[in-house]
Amino acid sequence: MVSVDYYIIDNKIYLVLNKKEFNGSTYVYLANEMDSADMIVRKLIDEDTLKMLDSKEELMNVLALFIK
Amino acid sequence: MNDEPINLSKFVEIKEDVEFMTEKHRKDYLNRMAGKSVGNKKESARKGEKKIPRSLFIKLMLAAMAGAAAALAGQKVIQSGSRALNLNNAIKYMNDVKFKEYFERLGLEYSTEDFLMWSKVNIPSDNLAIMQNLIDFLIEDGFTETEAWYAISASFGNDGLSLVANLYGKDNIEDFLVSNGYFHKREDGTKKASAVSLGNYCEDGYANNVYNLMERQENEEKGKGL
Repeated sequence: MVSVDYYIIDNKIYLVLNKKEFNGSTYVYLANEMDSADMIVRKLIDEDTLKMLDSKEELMNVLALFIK
Repeated sequence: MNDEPINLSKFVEIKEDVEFMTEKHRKDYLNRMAGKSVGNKKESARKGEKKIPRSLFIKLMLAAMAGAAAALAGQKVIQSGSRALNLNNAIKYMNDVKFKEYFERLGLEYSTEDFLMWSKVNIPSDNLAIMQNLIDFLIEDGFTETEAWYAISASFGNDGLSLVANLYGKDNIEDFLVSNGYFHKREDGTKKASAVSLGNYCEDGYANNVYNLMERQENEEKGKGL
């Protein structure tokens, strides 16, 4: 067993898979624990606030970091 | 995650020989991933911590990495793509050299990059003798027989269920999946196993195998004093 942080978003539990720093911001990579195909990326504002990404380019940049 | 970092990047690669999403499909997929379908720019999210099986974490991580790779490449079939990526890379990771020897034993030219394509073209579902050789090879490298069959079957996507059914009998394989909790519920409440059930079983088994391989590698490195 491993300890994993999670966020409840839209009544679903999203596990924190990883965090990466990019352009001075922290991005979290989250996966729905009940659906492995449901993966989302958010910018971390504070411990209880996540923000959607602003552009497709921003998403592409942080996705590339994730699989590097 | 409050544990040692897991480097899974070696299990994931972007493959280009796949069918691509339509622009609309890709846009919708990316919007969902980035949160644009949510509406609110900021989401108040309750944070917590929980314990989960390490194999589940690895499964989700691999699926997410494959999903990210698929999004970058614009792949159309995310789930099948992730299974193919996972199996292909697991086999590569397990032992490239041994697989080369195996192919040579069969009198075949070996190509790591083309392995998956080769297997789809050259292993018809009724040619169980060749399949059995592949299974034997995986078993030599630590898979159980059942895991090996399911792992190979996973690379055949929707054909996986019928492939395994050819060996074990359709009723048996469906019973097996249902009894292990891999099923869909029909409208009348009865349980039905499908290729998707098989895929989920494969992914769970695969995550466990990755974990076992990683543990074995770590132990070998410790044994060498690395």
